[in-house]
Amino acid sequence: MSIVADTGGARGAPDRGFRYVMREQTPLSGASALLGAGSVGVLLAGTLAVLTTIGWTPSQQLAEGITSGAQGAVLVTAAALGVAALALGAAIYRRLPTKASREGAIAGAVLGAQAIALAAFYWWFRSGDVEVFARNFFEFALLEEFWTRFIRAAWNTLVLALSGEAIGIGIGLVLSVFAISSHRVVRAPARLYINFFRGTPLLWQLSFFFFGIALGLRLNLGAYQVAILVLGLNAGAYSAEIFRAGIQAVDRGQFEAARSLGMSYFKALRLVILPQAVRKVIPPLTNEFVILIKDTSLVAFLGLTLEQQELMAVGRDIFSQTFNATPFLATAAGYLAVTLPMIRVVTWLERRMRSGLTGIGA
Amino acid sequence: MNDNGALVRLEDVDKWFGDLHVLRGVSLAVHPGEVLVVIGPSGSGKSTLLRTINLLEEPTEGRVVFDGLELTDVRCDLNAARTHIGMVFQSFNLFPHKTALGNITLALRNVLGLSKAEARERALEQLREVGLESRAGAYPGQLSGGQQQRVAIARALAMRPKLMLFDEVTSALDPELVKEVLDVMQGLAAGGMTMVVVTHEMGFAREVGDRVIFMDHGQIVEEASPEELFERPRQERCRQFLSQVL
Repeated sequence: MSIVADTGGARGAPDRGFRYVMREQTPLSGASALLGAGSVGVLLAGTLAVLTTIGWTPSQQLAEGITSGAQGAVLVTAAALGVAALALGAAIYRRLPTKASREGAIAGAVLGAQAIALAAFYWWFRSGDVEVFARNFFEFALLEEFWTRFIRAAWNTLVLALSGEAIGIGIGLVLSVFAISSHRVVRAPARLYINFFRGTPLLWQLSFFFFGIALGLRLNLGAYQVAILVLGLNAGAYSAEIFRAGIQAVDRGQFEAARSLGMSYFKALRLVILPQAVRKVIPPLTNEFVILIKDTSLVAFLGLTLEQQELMAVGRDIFSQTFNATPFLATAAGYLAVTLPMIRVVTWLERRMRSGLTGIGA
Repeated sequence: MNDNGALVRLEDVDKWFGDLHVLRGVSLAVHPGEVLVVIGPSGSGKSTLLRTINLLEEPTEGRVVFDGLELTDVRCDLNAARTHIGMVFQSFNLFPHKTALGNITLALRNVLGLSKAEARERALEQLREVGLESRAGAYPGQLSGGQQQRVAIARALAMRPKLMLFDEVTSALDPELVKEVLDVMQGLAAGGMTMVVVTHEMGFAREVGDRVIFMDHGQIVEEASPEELFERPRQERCRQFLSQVL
């Protein structure tokens, strides 16, 4: 039952058509959320169950599972539940008395929409030549004999990125101090360095330093060492800009307070400004580090020995041996295994430092 | 005015910020044990005047002499001189990454070269004097504005300066926190510290000041004892300013 109330006119004010509809309240908020969660749950759990029952390997088996009638039934059920959740959520939204209960309706409707979208995409995917696709990308049995190489590759990726970042932070700190100098002759070389390394591709830098300088000058340096050096030089340019921004973001009063206590320019920088700047730049520096982890993939082009191969090189190597693209999936999984924990650790560190209850450095 | 034995002397100091003439030939002497209060409308150059005393602002022209040393001389060891001139700022400027204790010991350790134990002892003693010994381990973010400013005063005092500069130190405080800071300053003045105080607290100026300077447009317009300046201002501009703030 609905009651249509007409305000405004009743109070003698000009009626601008402002009306609201009072509907009876409903307790269905929880049911809506449950229905939405159910639609996504059926899709995920159902698919997992069907594929596991029929088998993930070999790829023909997987393709059979994907195109099976059971999988189709799962998709149709999930989509139907999704439609129901979406409809229910939309229908009851304005009948819910509290903000918290309306959250339930929103969650149900949105989850339902997601289930519908996922099911539709999967349905489209199933209509293609799944067997060829699965043979090329999902031949998981193939990875069995190579998995130790991926572990070592992930380790190498991590070593490359961490060494590069360590060198980069060192270079960046020094350069940033030059870059904020009031003397143009000090600033200019720093700017030149920063702009050069930011303005040329990393792949060019790797090639130039390896094929050009290391081999050309007959330096006794392998591709791996050159890679660490160049990643460091490159990260140094980016970190320098990040540190410069961080230093300039520290209130000028901090510098004045330090100088008024008799600290020299560099003492004030080291003891007062840099510890605060470092804290401010943790988020952009993390971002830079995650980019650096991914940039290590370019090292694959220098030609690494078997022990030195990082994730991208291993993926490419096995791909060219087997003419199968499944190793690239393992490569992606390897990168995520390295980057995701890194992001987590730094997020935690950032929250801890942001709390202001702890000092770092100095 | 007789300048013999002055702790600070400014001689014909001019300061330009680009095209802006902020100080116009200011001369001034501060004697040991004296509390000099500087008042005036905003933009009159009083903060700049204060900041030229420890050369946070370098005068465009003129000389600044402190304790017989010409600070404006390029051969002068400014860092060493500044250890004898304490400064307290409007915005506190405590180091947020250091505790109250750490704020004070930082310069004691790294500038004066005190041992860890000496620095700690002196810092705690100074915190006790401003009534904050119990908050030694607190970070600035955990302290009220008044407490932060008292730590800032303790930080400056711990260097055992011969001169203290106060730059509108109560302007950023909530009204109920002003008194605790002024009390510390009053105690300091009573103890014989030489002080230059830029302030809008006219009650404090009258009560604690030995001499008051009224500044306007980068010049010292009037200079007298608090009684005289507040009761019988001679200059029209000074009269006008006082009628607006009192």
